[in-house]
Amino acid sequence: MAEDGQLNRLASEVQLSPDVVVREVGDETILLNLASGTYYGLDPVGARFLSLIEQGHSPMQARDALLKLYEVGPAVLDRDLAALLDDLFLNGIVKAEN
Amino acid sequence: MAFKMRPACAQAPLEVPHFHRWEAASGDPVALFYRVPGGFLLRFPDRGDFTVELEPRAICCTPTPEVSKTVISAVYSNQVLPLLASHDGELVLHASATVGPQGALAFLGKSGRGKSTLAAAFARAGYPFLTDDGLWLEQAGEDYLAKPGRPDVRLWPDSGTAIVAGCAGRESADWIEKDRFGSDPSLPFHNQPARLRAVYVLGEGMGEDPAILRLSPLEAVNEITKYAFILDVEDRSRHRDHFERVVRLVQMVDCFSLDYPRKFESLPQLITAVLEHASSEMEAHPR
Repeated sequence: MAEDGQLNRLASEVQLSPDVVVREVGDETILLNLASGTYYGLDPVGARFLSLIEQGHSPMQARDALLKLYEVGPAVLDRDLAALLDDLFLNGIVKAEN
Repeated sequence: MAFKMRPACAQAPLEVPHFHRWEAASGDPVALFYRVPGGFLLRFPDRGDFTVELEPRAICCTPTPEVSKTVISAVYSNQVLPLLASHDGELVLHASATVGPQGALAFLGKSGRGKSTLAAAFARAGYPFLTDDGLWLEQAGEDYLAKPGRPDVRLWPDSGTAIVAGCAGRESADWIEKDRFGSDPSLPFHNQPARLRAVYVLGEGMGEDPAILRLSPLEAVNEITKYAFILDVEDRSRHRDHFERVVRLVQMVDCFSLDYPRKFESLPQLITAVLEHASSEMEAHPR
Protein backbone atom coordinates (compact mmCIF):
# COMPACT_ATOMS: atom_id res chain seq x y z
CA MET A 1 0.00 0.00 0.00
CA ALA A 2 1.33 3.44 -0.89
CA GLU A 3 2.65 5.58 1.94
CA ASP A 4 0.78 8.80 2.70
CA GLY A 5 3.85 10.85 1.89
CA GLN A 6 4.15 9.30 -1.54
CA LEU A 7 0.49 10.00 -2.32
CA ASN A 8 0.85 13.58 -1.06
CA ARG A 9 3.72 14.21 -3.44
CA LEU A 10 1.78 12.74 -6.31
CA ALA A 11 -1.18 14.93 -5.38
CA SER A 12 0.82 18.11 -5.92
CA GLU A 13 0.37 20.19 -9.05
CA VAL A 14 3.52 20.43 -11.12
CA GLN A 15 4.64 21.60 -14.51
CA LEU A 16 7.65 21.07 -16.71
CA SER A 17 10.21 23.81 -16.23
CA PRO A 18 10.43 26.16 -19.23
CA ASP A 19 14.23 25.79 -19.04
CA VAL A 20 14.06 22.12 -20.03
CA VAL A 21 14.47 20.65 -23.51
CA VAL A 22 13.29 17.06 -24.01
CA ARG A 23 14.50 14.73 -26.74
CA GLU A 24 14.20 10.99 -27.39
CA VAL A 25 17.31 9.03 -28.28
CA GLY A 26 16.71 5.34 -28.82
CA ASP A 27 14.76 3.99 -25.89
CA GLU A 28 15.95 6.77 -23.61
CA THR A 29 14.60 10.27 -23.16
CA ILE A 30 17.21 12.91 -22.50
CA LEU A 31 16.48 16.22 -20.87
CA LEU A 32 18.71 19.27 -20.92
CA ASN A 33 18.21 21.77 -18.13
CA LEU A 34 19.38 24.99 -19.76
CA ALA A 35 19.49 26.77 -16.42
CA SER A 36 22.00 24.37 -14.89
CA GLY A 37 23.54 22.99 -18.09
CA THR A 38 23.01 19.43 -16.89
CA TYR A 39 21.53 16.41 -18.61
CA TYR A 40 19.03 13.94 -17.21
CA GLY A 41 17.86 10.62 -18.59
CA LEU A 42 14.51 8.84 -18.32
CA ASP A 43 13.54 5.29 -19.12
CA PRO A 44 10.32 4.71 -21.11
CA VAL A 45 8.05 4.68 -18.04
CA GLY A 46 9.61 7.84 -16.65
CA ALA A 47 9.38 9.46 -20.06
CA ARG A 48 5.70 8.58 -20.32
CA PHE A 49 5.11 10.04 -16.86
CA LEU A 50 6.85 13.28 -17.79
CA SER A 51 5.04 13.45 -21.10
CA LEU A 52 1.70 13.27 -19.30
CA ILE A 53 2.81 16.06 -16.96
CA GLU A 54 3.87 18.09 -19.98
CA GLN A 55 0.39 17.61 -21.45
CA GLY A 56 -1.11 19.19 -18.36
CA HIS A 57 -2.01 16.13 -16.31
CA SER A 58 -1.37 16.12 -12.58
CA PRO A 59 1.05 13.53 -11.20
CA MET A 60 -1.91 11.58 -9.81
CA GLN A 61 -3.67 11.58 -13.16
CA ALA A 62 -0.45 10.48 -14.82
CA ARG A 63 -0.08 7.74 -12.23
CA ASP A 64 -3.61 6.51 -12.93
CA ALA A 65 -2.89 6.44 -16.67
CA LEU A 66 0.33 4.48 -16.13
CA LEU A 67 -1.48 1.93 -13.94
CA LYS A 68 -3.67 1.11 -16.90
CA LEU A 69 -0.74 0.88 -19.29
CA TYR A 70 1.71 -1.19 -17.29
CA GLU A 71 1.43 -4.40 -15.32
CA VAL A 72 2.60 -3.01 -12.02
CA GLY A 73 1.09 -2.91 -8.55
CA PRO A 74 -0.16 0.48 -7.33
CA ALA A 75 2.12 0.50 -4.29
CA VAL A 76 5.22 -0.14 -6.38
CA LEU A 77 4.24 2.46 -8.95
CA ASP A 78 3.42 5.07 -6.30
CA ARG A 79 6.78 4.51 -4.64
CA ASP A 80 8.69 4.74 -7.90
CA LEU A 81 6.81 7.76 -9.17
CA ALA A 82 7.17 9.60 -5.87
CA ALA A 83 10.92 8.99 -5.98
CA LEU A 84 11.04 10.08 -9.63
CA LEU A 85 9.09 13.23 -8.86
CA ASP A 86 11.45 14.09 -6.03
CA ASP A 87 14.37 13.65 -8.40
CA LEU A 88 12.74 15.74 -11.10
CA PHE A 89 12.20 18.56 -8.60
CA LEU A 90 15.76 18.26 -7.32
CA ASN A 91 17.19 18.53 -10.84
CA GLY A 92 14.97 21.47 -11.79
CA ILE A 93 13.08 19.45 -14.42
CA VAL A 94 9.68 20.20 -12.90
CA LYS A 95 8.46 22.91 -10.61
CA ALA A 96 5.32 23.48 -8.59
CA GLU A 97 2.52 24.89 -10.66
CA ASN A 98 1.57 28.47 -9.72
CA MET B 1 37.65 37.34 -41.40
CA ALA B 2 40.31 39.83 -40.35
CA PHE B 3 43.28 38.47 -38.41
CA LYS B 4 45.96 40.56 -36.75
CA MET B 5 49.08 39.52 -34.88
CA ARG B 6 50.26 41.82 -32.11
CA PRO B 7 53.78 41.96 -30.70
CA ALA B 8 54.58 39.26 -28.15
CA CYS B 9 53.70 40.10 -24.60
CA ALA B 10 53.56 38.27 -21.29
CA GLN B 11 50.10 37.24 -20.13
CA ALA B 12 49.15 39.68 -17.39
CA PRO B 13 46.28 38.84 -15.03
CA LEU B 14 42.92 40.05 -16.30
CA GLU B 15 40.51 42.15 -14.26
CA VAL B 16 37.44 40.14 -15.22
CA PRO B 17 37.03 36.53 -14.10
CA HIS B 18 36.91 33.78 -16.68
CA PHE B 19 33.47 32.26 -17.27
CA HIS B 20 34.71 28.93 -18.55
CA ARG B 21 37.92 26.91 -18.74
CA TRP B 22 39.31 23.81 -20.39
CA GLU B 23 41.53 21.49 -18.45
CA ALA B 24 44.06 18.90 -19.52
CA ALA B 25 43.90 15.40 -18.13
CA SER B 26 46.37 16.62 -15.49
CA GLY B 27 43.92 19.29 -14.32
CA ASP B 28 46.07 22.15 -15.59
CA PRO B 29 44.17 24.86 -17.48
CA VAL B 30 44.52 24.62 -21.25
CA ALA B 31 42.27 27.55 -22.11
CA LEU B 32 40.43 30.27 -20.22
CA PHE B 33 37.39 32.07 -21.63
CA TYR B 34 36.66 35.73 -20.85
CA ARG B 35 33.92 38.11 -21.96
CA VAL B 36 35.16 41.39 -23.38
CA PRO B 37 33.27 44.19 -25.14
CA GLY B 38 32.23 42.98 -28.55
CA GLY B 39 33.16 39.36 -28.04
CA PHE B 40 35.55 37.15 -26.16
CA LEU B 41 39.15 36.80 -25.07
CA LEU B 42 40.55 33.30 -25.24
CA ARG B 43 43.65 32.81 -23.14
CA PHE B 44 45.85 29.79 -23.82
CA PRO B 45 48.33 29.77 -20.92
CA ASP B 46 51.95 30.07 -22.04
CA ARG B 47 50.82 30.29 -25.66
CA GLY B 48 48.89 33.49 -26.28
CA ASP B 49 45.69 35.47 -26.07
CA PHE B 50 43.18 35.58 -28.90
CA THR B 51 40.65 38.40 -28.87
CA VAL B 52 37.58 37.54 -30.91
CA GLU B 53 35.30 40.32 -32.09
CA LEU B 54 32.00 38.99 -33.35
CA GLU B 55 30.62 41.86 -35.41
CA PRO B 56 32.37 42.47 -37.69
CA ARG B 57 34.32 39.23 -37.29
CA ALA B 58 37.96 39.83 -36.41
CA ILE B 59 40.60 37.99 -34.44
CA CYS B 60 43.68 39.47 -32.84
CA CYS B 61 46.46 37.36 -31.36
CA THR B 62 48.98 38.41 -28.76
CA PRO B 63 51.50 35.58 -28.43
CA THR B 64 53.63 35.06 -25.36
CA PRO B 65 57.32 35.83 -25.83
CA GLU B 66 58.45 32.17 -25.72
CA VAL B 67 55.98 30.66 -28.13
CA SER B 68 56.78 29.77 -31.72
CA LYS B 69 54.73 30.70 -34.77
CA THR B 70 54.09 27.01 -35.34
CA VAL B 71 52.39 26.65 -31.98
CA ILE B 72 50.33 29.82 -32.47
CA SER B 73 49.26 28.58 -35.87
CA ALA B 74 48.22 25.25 -34.37
CA VAL B 75 46.26 26.91 -31.56
CA TYR B 76 44.52 29.17 -34.07
CA SER B 77 43.62 26.29 -36.40
CA ASN B 78 42.87 23.61 -33.83
CA GLN B 79 41.25 25.64 -31.06
CA VAL B 80 40.17 29.16 -32.02
CA LEU B 81 38.62 28.43 -35.41
CA PRO B 82 36.65 25.42 -34.10
CA LEU B 83 35.30 27.56 -31.27
CA LEU B 84 34.13 30.18 -33.71
CA ALA B 85 32.64 27.52 -35.93
CA SER B 86 30.66 26.12 -33.01
CA HIS B 87 29.39 29.64 -32.29
CA ASP B 88 28.17 29.74 -35.88
CA GLY B 89 26.30 26.45 -35.54
CA GLU B 90 28.80 23.79 -36.53
CA LEU B 91 29.65 20.66 -34.56
CA VAL B 92 33.36 20.33 -33.84
CA LEU B 93 34.79 17.85 -31.33
CA HIS B 94 38.03 17.55 -29.38
CA ALA B 95 38.80 14.38 -31.23
CA SER B 96 41.25 12.69 -33.52
CA ALA B 97 39.95 10.49 -36.30
CA THR B 98 41.23 7.70 -38.43
CA VAL B 99 39.73 5.98 -41.45
CA GLY B 100 39.31 2.23 -41.11
CA PRO B 101 37.73 -0.29 -43.47
CA GLN B 102 34.18 0.70 -42.40
CA GLY B 103 34.74 4.44 -42.33
CA ALA B 104 35.89 7.09 -39.90
CA LEU B 105 36.45 6.31 -36.24
CA ALA B 106 36.69 9.24 -33.82
CA PHE B 107 38.59 9.28 -30.54
CA LEU B 108 37.38 11.86 -28.01
CA GLY B 109 39.29 12.98 -24.99
CA LYS B 110 40.94 15.71 -22.99
CA SER B 111 44.34 17.10 -23.91
CA GLY B 112 46.95 14.55 -22.96
CA ARG B 113 44.61 11.55 -23.16
CA GLY B 114 46.20 10.14 -26.29
CA LYS B 115 44.11 11.34 -29.22
CA SER B 116 47.06 12.38 -31.38
CA THR B 117 49.06 9.31 -30.43
CA LEU B 118 46.21 7.10 -31.59
CA ALA B 119 45.85 8.98 -34.86
CA ALA B 120 49.56 8.57 -35.57
CA ALA B 121 49.60 4.91 -34.51
CA PHE B 122 46.68 4.03 -36.77
CA ALA B 123 48.31 5.90 -39.64
CA ARG B 124 51.57 4.06 -39.15
CA ALA B 125 49.54 0.81 -39.28
CA GLY B 126 48.12 1.85 -42.65
CA TYR B 127 44.87 3.54 -41.61
CA PRO B 128 45.13 7.19 -42.62
CA PHE B 129 44.33 9.94 -40.17
CA LEU B 130 41.72 12.61 -40.80
CA THR B 131 42.76 14.87 -37.95
CA ASP B 132 44.77 14.64 -34.76
CA ASP B 133 42.61 17.23 -32.93
CA GLY B 134 39.57 19.26 -33.88
CA LEU B 135 37.13 16.99 -35.71
CA TRP B 136 34.64 18.91 -37.84
CA LEU B 137 31.41 17.04 -38.48
CA GLU B 138 28.81 17.67 -41.13
CA GLN B 139 25.42 16.04 -41.31
CA ALA B 140 24.73 14.53 -44.73
CA GLY B 141 21.27 13.01 -44.81
CA GLU B 142 21.19 10.10 -42.37
CA ASP B 143 24.97 10.14 -41.93
CA TYR B 144 27.59 12.32 -40.37
CA LEU B 145 30.72 13.08 -42.35
CA ALA B 146 34.04 13.55 -40.61
CA LYS B 147 35.98 16.24 -42.44
CA PRO B 148 39.75 16.23 -42.88
CA GLY B 149 41.76 18.65 -40.76
CA ARG B 150 45.37 19.72 -41.05
CA PRO B 151 47.62 17.11 -42.73
CA ASP B 152 49.92 16.81 -39.75
CA VAL B 153 50.06 15.21 -36.35
CA ARG B 154 51.47 16.94 -33.31
CA LEU B 155 53.02 14.59 -30.76
CA TRP B 156 54.90 14.90 -27.52
CA PRO B 157 58.53 13.74 -27.98
CA ASP B 158 58.04 10.29 -26.46
CA SER B 159 55.08 9.49 -28.73
CA GLY B 160 56.89 10.90 -31.73
CA THR B 161 59.93 8.79 -31.08
CA ALA B 162 57.98 5.63 -30.34
CA ILE B 163 55.50 5.82 -33.18
CA VAL B 164 56.77 7.93 -35.98
CA ALA B 165 60.48 7.43 -35.66
CA GLY B 166 59.97 3.72 -35.07
CA CYS B 167 62.13 3.66 -31.98
CA ALA B 168 61.28 2.19 -28.61
CA GLY B 169 59.56 4.58 -26.23
CA ARG B 170 61.61 6.46 -23.65
CA GLU B 171 60.77 8.21 -20.44
CA SER B 172 59.07 11.54 -20.84
CA ALA B 173 61.21 14.61 -20.36
CA ASP B 174 60.21 18.20 -19.70
CA TRP B 175 58.98 19.86 -22.85
CA ILE B 176 57.11 22.93 -23.97
CA GLU B 177 56.09 22.21 -27.52
CA LYS B 178 54.92 19.16 -29.36
CA ASP B 179 56.77 17.93 -32.42
CA ARG B 180 54.94 18.25 -35.68
CA PHE B 181 54.94 15.40 -38.20
CA GLY B 182 53.62 16.10 -41.66
CA SER B 183 51.81 13.41 -43.57
CA ASP B 184 53.79 11.22 -45.96
CA PRO B 185 53.43 7.64 -47.26
CA SER B 186 54.48 6.28 -43.87
CA LEU B 187 52.03 8.57 -42.05
CA PRO B 188 49.15 8.73 -44.51
CA PHE B 189 46.48 11.42 -44.39
CA HIS B 190 42.93 11.03 -45.65
CA ASN B 191 42.14 14.25 -47.48
CA GLN B 192 38.45 13.62 -48.17
CA PRO B 193 35.44 13.56 -45.83
CA ALA B 194 34.60 10.08 -44.57
CA ARG B 195 31.42 8.68 -43.11
CA LEU B 196 31.67 8.65 -39.32
CA ARG B 197 30.94 5.12 -38.13
CA ALA B 198 31.78 5.20 -34.43
CA VAL B 199 32.91 7.47 -31.63
CA TYR B 200 35.22 6.22 -28.89
CA VAL B 201 35.63 8.20 -25.67
CA LEU B 202 39.09 7.64 -24.25
CA GLY B 203 39.38 6.50 -20.64
CA GLU B 204 42.18 7.11 -18.21
CA GLY B 205 44.14 3.93 -18.90
CA MET B 206 43.35 1.99 -15.76
CA GLY B 207 43.14 -1.55 -17.14
CA GLU B 208 45.73 -3.96 -18.45
CA ASP B 209 43.82 -4.72 -21.64
CA PRO B 210 41.66 -2.66 -23.99
CA ALA B 211 38.08 -2.41 -22.73
CA ILE B 212 35.29 -1.16 -24.97
CA LEU B 213 31.76 -0.58 -23.70
CA ARG B 214 28.71 0.81 -25.47
CA LEU B 215 27.55 4.13 -24.03
CA SER B 216 23.90 4.71 -23.22
CA PRO B 217 22.30 7.64 -25.05
CA LEU B 218 22.57 9.83 -21.95
CA GLU B 219 26.21 8.89 -21.43
CA ALA B 220 26.95 9.55 -25.10
CA VAL B 221 25.28 12.96 -25.03
CA ASN B 222 27.15 13.87 -21.85
CA GLU B 223 30.52 12.76 -23.19
CA ILE B 224 30.17 14.33 -26.61
CA THR B 225 29.03 17.60 -25.07
CA LYS B 226 32.00 17.47 -22.69
CA TYR B 227 34.38 17.20 -25.64
CA ALA B 228 32.64 19.52 -28.06
CA PHE B 229 33.93 22.97 -28.91
CA ILE B 230 31.51 25.48 -27.43
CA LEU B 231 32.52 29.12 -27.30
CA ASP B 232 29.84 30.48 -24.97
CA VAL B 233 28.58 27.80 -22.59
CA GLU B 234 26.23 30.34 -20.98
CA ASP B 235 24.34 31.23 -24.18
CA ARG B 236 21.13 29.26 -23.69
CA SER B 237 19.87 29.56 -27.22
CA ARG B 238 23.14 28.26 -28.62
CA HIS B 239 23.29 25.60 -25.93
CA ARG B 240 19.84 24.39 -26.99
CA ASP B 241 20.88 24.30 -30.65
CA HIS B 242 24.06 22.48 -29.74
CA PHE B 243 22.07 19.92 -27.77
CA GLU B 244 19.94 19.27 -30.83
CA ARG B 245 23.05 18.69 -32.93
CA VAL B 246 24.56 16.32 -30.39
CA VAL B 247 21.30 14.39 -30.07
CA ARG B 248 21.17 13.95 -33.83
CA LEU B 249 24.76 12.71 -33.81
CA VAL B 250 24.07 10.19 -31.05
CA GLN B 251 20.97 9.00 -32.91
CA MET B 252 23.03 8.32 -36.02
CA VAL B 253 26.46 7.21 -34.75
CA ASP B 254 27.27 4.53 -32.16
CA CYS B 255 29.32 5.73 -29.19
CA PHE B 256 31.58 3.71 -26.92
CA SER B 257 34.02 4.16 -24.09
CA LEU B 258 37.54 2.93 -24.81
CA ASP B 259 40.03 2.33 -22.04
CA TYR B 260 43.47 0.90 -22.64
CA PRO B 261 46.91 0.85 -21.02
CA ARG B 262 49.07 3.75 -22.13
CA LYS B 263 51.97 1.65 -23.29
CA PHE B 264 53.45 2.19 -26.73
CA GLU B 265 54.16 -1.52 -27.10
CA SER B 266 50.43 -2.24 -26.64
CA LEU B 267 49.31 0.00 -29.51
CA PRO B 268 49.27 -2.73 -32.19
CA GLN B 269 47.01 -4.85 -29.97
CA LEU B 270 44.79 -1.83 -29.36
CA ILE B 271 44.50 -1.02 -33.05
CA THR B 272 43.47 -4.60 -33.81
CA ALA B 273 40.94 -4.59 -30.95
CA VAL B 274 39.34 -1.33 -32.08
CA LEU B 275 39.10 -2.35 -35.72
CA GLU B 276 37.64 -5.74 -34.85
CA HIS B 277 35.18 -4.09 -32.49
CA ALA B 278 34.10 -1.56 -35.10
CA SER B 279 33.65 -4.29 -37.68
CA SER B 280 31.60 -6.54 -35.42
CA GLU B 281 29.43 -3.66 -34.22
CA MET B 282 28.65 -2.59 -37.74
CA GLU B 283 27.69 -6.12 -38.64
CA ALA B 284 25.52 -6.49 -35.57
CA HIS B 285 23.94 -3.02 -35.81
CA PRO B 286 23.95 -1.99 -39.47
CA ARG B 287 22.80 1.56 -40.21
